[in-house]
Amino acid sequence: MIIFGTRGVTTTPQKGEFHCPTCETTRNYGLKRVRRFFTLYFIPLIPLDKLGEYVECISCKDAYKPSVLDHDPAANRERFEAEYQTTIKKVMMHMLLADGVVEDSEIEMAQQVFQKVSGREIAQSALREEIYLIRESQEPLAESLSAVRGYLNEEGKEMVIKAALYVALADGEFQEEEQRMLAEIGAGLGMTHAHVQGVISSAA
Amino acid sequence: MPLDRLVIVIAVLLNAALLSLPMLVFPFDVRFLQKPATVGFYLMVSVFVAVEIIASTKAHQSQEQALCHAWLPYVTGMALLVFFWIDLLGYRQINVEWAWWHLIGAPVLLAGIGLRVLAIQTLNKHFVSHIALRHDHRLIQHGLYRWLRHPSELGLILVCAGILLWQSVPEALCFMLLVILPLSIFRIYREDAVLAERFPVQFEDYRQRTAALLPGLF
Repeated sequence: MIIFGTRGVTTTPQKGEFHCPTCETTRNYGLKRVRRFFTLYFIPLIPLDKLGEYVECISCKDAYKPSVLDHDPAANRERFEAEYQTTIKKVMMHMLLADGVVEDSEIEMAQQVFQKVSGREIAQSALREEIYLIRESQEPLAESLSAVRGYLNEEGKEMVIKAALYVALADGEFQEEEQRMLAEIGAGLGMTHAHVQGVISSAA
Repeated sequence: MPLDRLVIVIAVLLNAALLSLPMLVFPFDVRFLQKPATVGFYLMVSVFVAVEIIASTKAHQSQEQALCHAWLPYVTGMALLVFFWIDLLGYRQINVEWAWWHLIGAPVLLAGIGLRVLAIQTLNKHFVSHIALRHDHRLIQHGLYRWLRHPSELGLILVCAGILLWQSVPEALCFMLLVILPLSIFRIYREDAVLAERFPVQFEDYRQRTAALLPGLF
């Protein structure tokens, strides 16, 4: 038994609630900090370097990196929902601009689809403003698609394709530019050509 | 000054301060601090602390979870400090005679330190503060452990005996017999039980041919 030397001393400087990945619900946690202390007679006297930190779930006793405290599933869900709705809107606006002609029927369809997906109303004037901004900035769609691609499931991706398709078909025609745009959207979402075609066939 | 030597110097000074804490509470004659016996006491304990720190930093120590009696190292550490306090306080009367045979305390203490250093070096990463086993624990039976199962405990007892012989404080002797020795014996029994469980055949054979502390007696 070593009576003089150094040993790690664990303290709990912070407690609270967090989303435990193992329990998959909100639990109490303790932020454990291990610091090396110089000891005499096993009495920790001089604090030395910090050896590390970890978060321990009080319920399941699993340990995680402190970054788990930044994970807020509710906030993440909200952020994702907002990004998803924004992407659908952008996809529809790009589809509107694909054939170079912006028709009222297309804007009306975009309004309906967006309201159905988001559950909130949007004025046509807002959509027109969006179209104007996209046209001016020539912002590439690929960027928005890559942002959501990683965490959209198949159903989500199909919804994006369908939203763009409904807008494309709103004027009664499915033009070549619109077909190309749809293929581009599918590719941006990581969908195969066959999958995109399948969605088009089932929705049309 | 290299950092490790600085740590040792700070440790020795801190230890001296810790040992002197009771002087803040109990009255004493300042001349007591100038007595050769008192100076020798501080010196011997400082050597013990410094050597133990050097040995522990050279060994590849690991923090193992206690299998049982997690309180044991902490209580033993405090008991050792209290022992030193009792010894120092018991000797603070200025008119206590210091005889030549008290000098025997020094080699006894050094023998105790030597045993502990050798034990730490032999066990290396297996020398743990708690009663614990590493996942790759081995039953060490070479070197010092060929003759004694618990040389470090014997070393600790000799360190205390050395201090006792140096200053011969009856209260400290009582404390050693009532607290330090029982704690050491308790630790020996518990460590033996844990090792017997992990290495049933090997340890039984080892226990039959090797004494715990005193060959032929215990």
